[in-house]
Amino acid sequence: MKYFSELSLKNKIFVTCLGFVILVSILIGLFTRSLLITGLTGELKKRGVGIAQSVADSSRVFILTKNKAELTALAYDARLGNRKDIVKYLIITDNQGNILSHTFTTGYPPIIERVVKDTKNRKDKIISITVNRHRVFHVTVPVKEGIYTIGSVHIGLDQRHIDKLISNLRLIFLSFLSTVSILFFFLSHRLALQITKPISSLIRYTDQLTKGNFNILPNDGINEPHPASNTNDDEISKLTNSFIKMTSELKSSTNRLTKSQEKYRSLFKSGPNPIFVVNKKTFEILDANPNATHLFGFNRDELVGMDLFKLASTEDGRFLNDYSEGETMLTRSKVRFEKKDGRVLFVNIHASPSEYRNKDVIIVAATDITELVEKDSQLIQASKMTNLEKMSAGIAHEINQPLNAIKMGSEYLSMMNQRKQKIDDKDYQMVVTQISTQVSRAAEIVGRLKSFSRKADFSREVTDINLCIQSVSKIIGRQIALQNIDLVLDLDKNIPNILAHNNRMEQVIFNLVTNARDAVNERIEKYQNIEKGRITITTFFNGQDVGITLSDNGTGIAPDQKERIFESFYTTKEMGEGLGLGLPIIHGIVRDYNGTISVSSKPGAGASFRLLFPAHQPGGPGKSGEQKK
Amino acid sequence: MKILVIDDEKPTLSMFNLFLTAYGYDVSVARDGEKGLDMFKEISPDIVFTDIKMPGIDGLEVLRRIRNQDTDTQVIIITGHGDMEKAVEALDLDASDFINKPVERKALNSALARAEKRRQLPRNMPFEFRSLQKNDFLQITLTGKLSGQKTPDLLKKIQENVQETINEVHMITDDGFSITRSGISALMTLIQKLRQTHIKISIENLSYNYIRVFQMAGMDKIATLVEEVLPD
Amino acid sequence: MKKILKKTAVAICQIFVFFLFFACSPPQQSTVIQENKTGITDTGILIGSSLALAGHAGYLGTQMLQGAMSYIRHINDSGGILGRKINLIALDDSYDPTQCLYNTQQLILAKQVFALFSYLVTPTTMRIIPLINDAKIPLVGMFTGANRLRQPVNRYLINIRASYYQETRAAVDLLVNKKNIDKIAVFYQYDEYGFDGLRGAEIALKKHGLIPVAKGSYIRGTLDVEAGLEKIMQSDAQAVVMIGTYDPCAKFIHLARARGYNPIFHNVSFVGSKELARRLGPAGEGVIVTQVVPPPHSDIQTEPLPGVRQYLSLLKQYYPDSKPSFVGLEGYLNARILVEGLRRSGKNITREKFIQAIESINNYDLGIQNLLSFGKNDNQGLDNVYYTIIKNGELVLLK
Repeated sequence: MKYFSELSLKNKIFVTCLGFVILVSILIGLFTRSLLITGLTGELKKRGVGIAQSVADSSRVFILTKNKAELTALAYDARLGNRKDIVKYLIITDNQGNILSHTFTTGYPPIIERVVKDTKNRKDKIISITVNRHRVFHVTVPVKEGIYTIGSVHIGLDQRHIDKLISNLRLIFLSFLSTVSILFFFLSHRLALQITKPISSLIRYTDQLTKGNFNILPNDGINEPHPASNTNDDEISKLTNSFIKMTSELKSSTNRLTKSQEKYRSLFKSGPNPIFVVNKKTFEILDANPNATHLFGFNRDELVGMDLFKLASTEDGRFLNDYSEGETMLTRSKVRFEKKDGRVLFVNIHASPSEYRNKDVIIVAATDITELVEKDSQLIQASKMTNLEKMSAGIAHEINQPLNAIKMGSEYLSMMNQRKQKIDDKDYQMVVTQISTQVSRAAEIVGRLKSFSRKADFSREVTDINLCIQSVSKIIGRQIALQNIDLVLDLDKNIPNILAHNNRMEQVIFNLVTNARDAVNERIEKYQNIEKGRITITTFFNGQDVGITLSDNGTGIAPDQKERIFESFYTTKEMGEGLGLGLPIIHGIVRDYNGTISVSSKPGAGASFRLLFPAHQPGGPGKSGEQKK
Repeated sequence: MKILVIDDEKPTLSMFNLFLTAYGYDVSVARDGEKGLDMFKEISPDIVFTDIKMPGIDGLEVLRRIRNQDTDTQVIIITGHGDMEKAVEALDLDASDFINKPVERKALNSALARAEKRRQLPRNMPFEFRSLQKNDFLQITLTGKLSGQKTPDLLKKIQENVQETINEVHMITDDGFSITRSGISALMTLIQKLRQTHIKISIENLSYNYIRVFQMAGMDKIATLVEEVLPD
Repeated sequence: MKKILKKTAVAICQIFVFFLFFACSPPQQSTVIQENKTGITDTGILIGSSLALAGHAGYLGTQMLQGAMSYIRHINDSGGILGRKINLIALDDSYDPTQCLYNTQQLILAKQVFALFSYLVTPTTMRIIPLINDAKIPLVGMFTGANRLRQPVNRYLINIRASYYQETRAAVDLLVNKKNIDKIAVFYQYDEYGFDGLRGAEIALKKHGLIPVAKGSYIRGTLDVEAGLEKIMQSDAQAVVMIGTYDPCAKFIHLARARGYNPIFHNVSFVGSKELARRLGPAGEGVIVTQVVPPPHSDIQTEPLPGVRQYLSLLKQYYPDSKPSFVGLEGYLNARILVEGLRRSGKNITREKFIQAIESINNYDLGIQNLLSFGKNDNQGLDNVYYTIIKNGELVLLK
């Protein structure tokens, strides 16, 4: 079977057709032969029996008279004419099995004597024997005089007759078969050729095309060179036509593709951004453009074959694992990579699938945003400084209280000692305790300050928003209160944690609270509205996100301003009062944590900021570590 | 003597109480402005210490309301860090003095002394000055409330009395001296003008707190500020 | 080019395979011709014959046999052929084909004769042809001119005398050419012998562009010649070619002459010319009889032919009481051929060799002005026909 499949199409057609024809012919032949043999044998026997019976009829008289001459004549007569072929011999016997007459001119074979004697007990039987190397059917027919059997007629039917017929038939049939086969041989050959020749030409032509050689004109083997002049309607011609059309299409496509490839090649080379071509499955770098090598500090040979994740810091490197099938583009911002010399670099990643040298790849374009990130963090830091500034007055004021108590306490002790006046034990205890307490208080304030000003590291941590809010409230709460503004905290104890930085969240909340405070003050000043200022902070969990609502009853935000408040440098404050960096930075930070911030406001009736952050679910809603005081 | 201390910080109040009681005063305390004013009506203290930054009515409002009442009570403002603006405002409102937190003994003593002295003096003393020519400097004694309007006269006087060989002017303030905001800036301008003619100025007998204010204004850079000497 | 060669090779292979196929079953071979030495011993050669010997019907048979035996005994007495004497077994079949068949089977099977010899008449001879073919045994000399014994050529049937066709041809030729007769009728015995003659006559006439003007027949064994005669008389035939036996033919001629109808009568040799002449008497004057052998008697006018002379002398020697006859001469000639064939076969004689020997006889002069030739396709020795005419109750050669 394997051999068959290896044959060319032409030979396949040929072999199949021929094989089929031969098979059918053989089957017919065999069938016919068997049919014929059976039929002929039957016929022969019938005839033989008929002859024997007629001889038996005629011989009756002569058997009775024992007229051997007549019986001999009868016997020989049975072999007259064309019966000679069928009747090999004829024997007439009496009822004892003695031969009365026979046609064995040259002597009867011994087997005959045996058979003839045997048939005393057999009547109307046909047996097959071999006489003188001829196969015969030995037919025995009784000669009856009334009900008595007076003798038998034995007739030997030459099977050679049949055999000859059969072999003649076979000869004829085989000759016929040979003729047909030969005929068919050439016919199918031609037919196959008819089919395969244009196909072979097309194959050759295609091969040329594959090599990129478009200049071959179909003038070798394919029927018509020009579709216009093609008048044939058969499939081969149609195929040829389609093929020619396809070729020209292919040619122009290839040209376009080459041009496009050149274009993209030059883009790749000269692209201002680093571009990597990365194996889709293994993330192995297959190619990198000059900018990539330049930026990362590796040269091309070092980069090619490297695992892309080697460049990225591990956790950020996982971004590409999120890449699922079918996504046409993936963008990730602020992915952290490392240069060859170890310096950190931040990029925005655009990844899209493509094909490159017959492999499924991802084209990864990176935009270096290290500076931006630095500036960003600088900005955050700056904003923090601004906040710190804002805080500092309050902090200073706050710290002053314990300092004052300490100072006054210690001065008192000093004075009393100098004056040599006795201090009451009670007073003494009070002073000393007070000093200690106030020192702790001062330290705590300092600590808060420190933590607030600390530069956040990059990894996000599990953060309880409630704690952040409480911290901020501690920092700025007193100050707010001093300004106759109520700060109301409505914190849901059961909210889950989020992934963020404590520090930054405090910043965010601080910023919003100060904004709210400013707004309230503005309302009081501008509109002479003496309704008590109120800032409300609420936390909640809606099943998916953790939310903070910060509402104030300040001046509110006008609709047209609402869109712009998150714009960098947009401010409604006086010159020198605020940089307008707060909300944009908050916005940036919120986005960093995959959260959203929205604002609703009625001018004159206050504003409400709503922040939502995706809950961090390691196994359920987070527990608030500290109890609310 | 009766003293009323108004401050929202409990520890501060305790300390003040302790201190002033140790000095022999009759001390009353109040936690906020409203209460403080109520108490003021009640006990009519001689001196009032009030913190500026308080929830509800702040210290200045307390000062204002006390001033509106016809009393001789001396109001001393307690300032925290960064309240200097308010302190100057308080001066305009005829605050007797102000002390800075954390409160030093010295500052407290100074303020108390000044407050007592000022009690003796008439209210709203007009501004006056006397000049005395010494060997190599001009001595000018200042008293009363110096406002911006008055400085031109002072300047004129100084310029008249300055002789060519004199290039130092010593200004001495006495207990009755107070200055307004405008006064401070006018004084600074005056000193600048004098310096242009190469005359050195020194201001003497300033209370601890006044030095603070003047330092804040930057007066210490253009004139020498001398502190008063106090008995312990 | 290579491809085409390859393809052709494949094609040829296939054809070969196919033919191999059919060659698989070898056709039944015909049995090898036996080199049969039956009947030959070192001292003798056994010959068999079945013919009419008994009764008055036995005249022909007896005559023939005596003629043959004269020569055979002569040969035997001369030492035989290469030391072998010829032994002839003769069985009587009384012209019965069945009996002849049986006899012949016995001769071949039981008696194991080497060859058969001198059979009489067509029916009997025809009957044994299957046996002859089966046994592949040669039969030398048959007293019959039947065409069927000559065509198609059966190499086992060795005819000596000319055929009826030749006789009727000779007669017709004579009649048409010499006598300028074109109205010729045929009177024939209604059996194979007669049909054969009729056919011969028709063929002969056709050659001259003629057909028999009338055909009359009589049933074998009867003398009912009237109907035939009537027919022929009505045709006004100038000559009548007659193929029959002497009794009916004699009656026919008598009746014809009695009715004043006197065409030229012609008979073939088988009629039994002597008997015919005897029965005809004076009415037989001018009746032509074609003969296949020359007249076997010494004629005052003519010297007998050497072959005839030999016959006469040997007959006289061995069968002094027997009168020479045409049929006897035929028998004699048969014997001569038999002996010649045996002689030519050599020492290692076989039936096949014998036949080949016979076939090799060419232009053999028997001394009867009739050269004898056999061949592969010629199983008739003599071709000449003699014209005799009844004159004075005697048959004489026609000049």
